Amino acid sequence: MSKPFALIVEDDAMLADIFSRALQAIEYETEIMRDGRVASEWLQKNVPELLVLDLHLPFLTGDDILNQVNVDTRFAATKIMIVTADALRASYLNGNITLTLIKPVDVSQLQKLAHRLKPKPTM
Amino acid sequence: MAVKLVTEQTKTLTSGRFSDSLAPPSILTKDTTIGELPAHRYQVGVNTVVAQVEKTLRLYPILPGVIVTQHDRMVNVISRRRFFEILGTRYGVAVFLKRPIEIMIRHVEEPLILPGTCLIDEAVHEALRRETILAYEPILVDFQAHGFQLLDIYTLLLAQSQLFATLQQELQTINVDLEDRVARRTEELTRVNSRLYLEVAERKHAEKHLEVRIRYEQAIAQSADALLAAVDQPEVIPETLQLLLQATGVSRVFLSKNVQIEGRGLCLVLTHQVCSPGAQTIPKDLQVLPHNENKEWLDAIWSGQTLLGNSAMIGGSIKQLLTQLGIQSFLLLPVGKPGDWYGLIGLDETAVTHTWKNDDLQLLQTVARMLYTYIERQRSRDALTQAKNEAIRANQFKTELMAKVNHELRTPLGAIMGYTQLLQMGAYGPVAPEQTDPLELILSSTNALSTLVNSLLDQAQLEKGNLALENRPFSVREMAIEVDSKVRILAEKTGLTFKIIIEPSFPEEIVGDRMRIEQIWTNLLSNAIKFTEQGYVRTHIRLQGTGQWLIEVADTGIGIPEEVQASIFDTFVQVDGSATRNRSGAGLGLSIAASIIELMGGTIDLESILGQGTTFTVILPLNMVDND
Repeated sequence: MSKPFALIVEDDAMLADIFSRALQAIEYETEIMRDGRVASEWLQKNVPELLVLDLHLPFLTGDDILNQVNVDTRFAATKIMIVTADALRASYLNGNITLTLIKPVDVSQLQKLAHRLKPKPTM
Repeated sequence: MAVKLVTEQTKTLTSGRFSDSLAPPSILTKDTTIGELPAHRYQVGVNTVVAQVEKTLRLYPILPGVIVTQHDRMVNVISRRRFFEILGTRYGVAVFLKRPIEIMIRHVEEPLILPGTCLIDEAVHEALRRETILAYEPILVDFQAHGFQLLDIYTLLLAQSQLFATLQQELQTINVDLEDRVARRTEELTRVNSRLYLEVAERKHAEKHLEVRIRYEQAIAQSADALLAAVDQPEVIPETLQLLLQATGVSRVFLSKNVQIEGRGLCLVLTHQVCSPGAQTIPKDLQVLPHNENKEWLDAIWSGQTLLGNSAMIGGSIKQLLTQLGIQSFLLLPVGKPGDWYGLIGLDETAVTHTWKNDDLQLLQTVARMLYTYIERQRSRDALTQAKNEAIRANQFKTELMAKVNHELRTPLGAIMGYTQLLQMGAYGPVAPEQTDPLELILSSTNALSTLVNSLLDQAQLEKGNLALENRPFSVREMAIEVDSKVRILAEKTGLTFKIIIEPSFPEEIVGDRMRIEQIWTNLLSNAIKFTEQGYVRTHIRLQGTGQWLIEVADTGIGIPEEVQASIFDTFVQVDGSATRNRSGAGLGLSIAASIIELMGGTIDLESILGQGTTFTVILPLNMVDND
């Protein structure tokens, strides 16, 4: 059985590393993308199980990626986790967001939530 | 028969002076009666012999005639003229002289009898009414009980003429008086007339003066209206100058302002000018006058003096200026006050020589004062607006900075927290037992810092006024489990009893901003734990009356001094400085909590006894899930 895939879109290298390690510790396969445009291109060909998305991104904002994912039915099963420092902006977001975490993010909380979001194993 | 002569007559008779006896009294008035005139009472009985009468009449020529009586009663009167006429007839003497007078009576007419009270005028009138032949007969005056007397018609006529003369004199006097009065009256009238004339002239002058005055007053009133009410209306200045132009009727009115110009020093710079039709405007090259080149006359103005004159009478540096501008008469009025001369109002007359009247000066001084008031007000308003804008900008900057700092703080905080937690989890290899505590300390400090950052952001958003509240259904019991899992560890670490009690009848779901309520509640609880060294921290959740619910957080901590209680919900207030050092916190929590609760339409209150404990009570409006 393959591990669920998590795409981490976060421009800060350290935070991306922390999220990645935390998710790997609970059996996620992870990929880090630090630029909105690259992430957007990647998402045109791939569908992750979990999308960890920062809002402030270079070239293309988290909002844009969110809009792209929201209108594409391929992502119907993808869980979206917004991770942002901007609580106000997060409260104005629309779309199929599974949950929003305000930075600084508690690693154990992230792990707990991400674990819950794992797809149920198909028999 | 004896002759009977009465006393007055005797007197008259014996006086022997005709003029005296016949003359009427010297003082006669129109009220004098005939009874007052000299008269005669020569009476004889009917049987008296004519010769006897003839002898008496010849002896007393003033007697006008004889009254003939019988038994003391008047029978008739024979006048002197008639008596001698009868005697003078042919055989008259022979027939009458030796016989009684009675026979003569048959030949005479009835006499005219008038009462003694009869006025001279009337008597003359009556006498002359008689037949021409009888017109000069004496008149018999009837004195009633005092008998009769004979009044000579000459006496009467003399009296009449004398009276007439007197009356005429009187009349003349009256006339003279009248004339005098008329003259006086005329003189008076002339005087009044000329005075009236003068008054009319004066009034005309006054009217003209009044017209000017009214024009000036209107100009003042209008500019006062504009200047005293105006704020941020730059057009009020040219409007005022236009009013001055109209009121004074000069060629040009302008306003110049003192300005420091680089390289030229203090200069008088023209800012506004209005001209009457046909008058020239001040050309560009004369609109800026450096102070040091015009010191001579500007110094006078900046000592508060009004400068006025005609170009013909003036010399010095201003003369050149006047010639260049073709000014005949000018008036320059400082605007401002000692130490702050804003500039000057100038009035130029280019066509004719203008005589500056007091009204001109009064008007201008008043308007100059009002203009300065406007300028001062405008200045202070500008300063105020600037200060306000600066304050707004500063506050905005602060808020933005805070938001930015918050954002920039969160990322490294996240890194510290994240790596610490990864270390604790053994993601970088096993953790030695002596490393557990330091790692825990790093984490709790970072948590504290994170809470502070959250508070700062909330504060910034509250100040910006854009803290948005959510209104979604949530379960208070679920929230309590979450809060319990976070707070219990802290309480039990310091050995406190911790308890959350939710009223059993409390609704399963209510509507509100769960995140904020949880934040406030957690904040109150961690505060309570922070300030309590032993005992308990207890929290109750229950309904309050209808339409409200409350969260109560009670502790057995150090308590809050009464003097601090009132300000405890203000930004950056903590119990005291010492508490701050031992117990971390920026004092933002409670003020933010209070602001958010207020935003939700609720209240927060506290009761505290120093050294015994504190109870915070949050009351919130109860919003139930709409089932419809």
